[in-house]
Amino acid sequence: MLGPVLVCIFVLVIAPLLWGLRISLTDSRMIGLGYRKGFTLENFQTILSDPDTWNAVWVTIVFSGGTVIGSVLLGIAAALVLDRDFPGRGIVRVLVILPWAVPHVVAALVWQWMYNPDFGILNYGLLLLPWVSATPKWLSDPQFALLAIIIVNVWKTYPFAALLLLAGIQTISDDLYEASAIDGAGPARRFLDITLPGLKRVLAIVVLLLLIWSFGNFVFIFLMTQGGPAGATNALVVHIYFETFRFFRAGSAFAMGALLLAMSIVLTSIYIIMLRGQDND
Amino acid sequence: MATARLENVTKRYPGHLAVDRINLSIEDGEFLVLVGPSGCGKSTTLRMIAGLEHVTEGNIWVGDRRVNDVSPRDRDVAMVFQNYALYPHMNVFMNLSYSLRLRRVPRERIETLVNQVAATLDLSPLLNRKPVQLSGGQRQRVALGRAIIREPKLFLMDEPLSNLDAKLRVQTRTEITRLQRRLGVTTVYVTHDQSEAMTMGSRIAVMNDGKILQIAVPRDLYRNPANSFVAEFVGTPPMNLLSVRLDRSGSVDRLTGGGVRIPCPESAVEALEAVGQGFRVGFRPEDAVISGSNTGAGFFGQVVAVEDLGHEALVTVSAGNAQFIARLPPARAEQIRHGQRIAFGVEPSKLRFFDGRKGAAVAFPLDESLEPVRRHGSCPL
Repeated sequence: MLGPVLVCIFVLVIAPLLWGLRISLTDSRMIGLGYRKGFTLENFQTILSDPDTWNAVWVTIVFSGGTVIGSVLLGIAAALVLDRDFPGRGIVRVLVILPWAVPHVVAALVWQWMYNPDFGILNYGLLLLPWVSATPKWLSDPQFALLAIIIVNVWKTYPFAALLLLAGIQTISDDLYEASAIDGAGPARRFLDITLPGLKRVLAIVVLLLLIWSFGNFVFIFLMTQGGPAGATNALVVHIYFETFRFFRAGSAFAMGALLLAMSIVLTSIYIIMLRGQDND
Repeated sequence: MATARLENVTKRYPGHLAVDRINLSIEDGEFLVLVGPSGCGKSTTLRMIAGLEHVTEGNIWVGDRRVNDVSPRDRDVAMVFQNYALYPHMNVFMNLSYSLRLRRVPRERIETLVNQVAATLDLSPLLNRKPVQLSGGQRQRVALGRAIIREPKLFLMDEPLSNLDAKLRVQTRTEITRLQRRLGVTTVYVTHDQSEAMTMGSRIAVMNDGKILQIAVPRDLYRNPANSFVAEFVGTPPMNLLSVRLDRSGSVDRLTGGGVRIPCPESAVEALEAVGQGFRVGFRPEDAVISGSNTGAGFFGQVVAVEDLGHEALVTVSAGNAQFIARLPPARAEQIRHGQRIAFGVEPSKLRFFDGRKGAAVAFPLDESLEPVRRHGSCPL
């Protein structure tokens, strides 16, 4: 059984990866085609000295970090609420999970409509607040565009976090809460001393997956801002896409791909090492 | 050090009455055991004392404070859970000191207390271990330590021994009793195991169906059960019980039922007549007398089983359509063979009577030959 699996992994993962790295070392313009230089490090020199690349790296980090923090916080809050027994819990559970089930394109369209500066519900709501006199042009203002996309992505991914964290919370024995209540812990201490440590492993998985997913998230940015305005939402994946398919610079695009891969590997490794260290306390 | 009192305490869940108007007074320094079959409401009662369950009706007092609406952390009670409920991510030191840290006890004081408790419970070399690295017995001791370190008013234990293997259970039983005597902390201990109750409790409350059926010292509970449920629940094997009626037609008053005839003690006749016709007679296995010939004090039966346990032998005798168990010294049982017909009798003064419908014990003047019941006497098990 091991043989076919290894063949599959090689054909589907390792070979394309190596091929991609190979392309990043050529001056190919179409993917893997039309190159004059068979081996060059020029792509890397170009992208590493290009401020656009570093902007894209920064946007990627802010986007991913924002998504992870937002999703996890919202996910924990939702999980804590859903863990309680209250009338109508079944319906609320469905509602909480719903964003996850909505297709990306539909979500992007709905949010784009809500973000509309003139007749979007978001600004309409904001203007109802007594102290708000001016509203942001969400998707067309470089100051707000990335935040707007992060909000959409958090909205889309937090149900996943909530679901996993809820499962995690439910594995924590009630006895522990009772023991700590008798020992003198109030609700906040119980959360810090029992719930959070009990969720450590689940939390680790959630953070890791969200991080990897938002590193590679392309859909919302492409559909809602196309990397703009003025590169404010130009994450690496989007940047790579435009480099390849709009400007036909496959070589440097693949070099950026390698950069993204390296970032993912480094972050994931740091995270795993941190977790191992905690376990060995 | 404190007393505790339960006054008409009731716990009602939707569609289910878990605890039904129980009254219980726990004396200072006492080791009170709540015992009963599963689902009898004993754990619910303990959890109400701890504050983990709300009291539907009635009052709970710890010392002279009514604690019905006091949160668990302000009741000054400590609890040992069945599965120990040790904090999995904290090492033994942190587990033991958790309540002290929450109360902002100074660090040096915490260290002194933890070291004292660890020495008492033989945990000193394990202070840096996490609960997963401990054996069942060690976890159990950490759970105990976590409770005693606080010097609470009340110690609550919810079946703390049921996750240990048989040998360790007996050993820990003694340790807990000794610890409790030494610390003198008022303790409420819940168990479904009657032998645990009998060996540990200075007093025992037997519960069934949410009610307390009898509160007594172990020996009293064993000798004079207040009803047939207690009679059957306490003691291994349980008290032999047989539905009988009083037959006064012959020269001697007899109890007949199930094809068995037993002479009735004279002092009981009057009380039994008052009860009416339906009642049950009971006697402890060790009060049965087995002899080769019919001495007139009993009836004939056939030996169905002989179980030699080394220190005692249990002989099951079938008579009529009833079965009885007799407890004999092994040497006596050696001569008894399976299938043998033997005479089976009971000393009349050792017979107990229970109302056939309600199960309540029928009181009658005991013969002087009966030994007086002593408080805190040793358990006959």
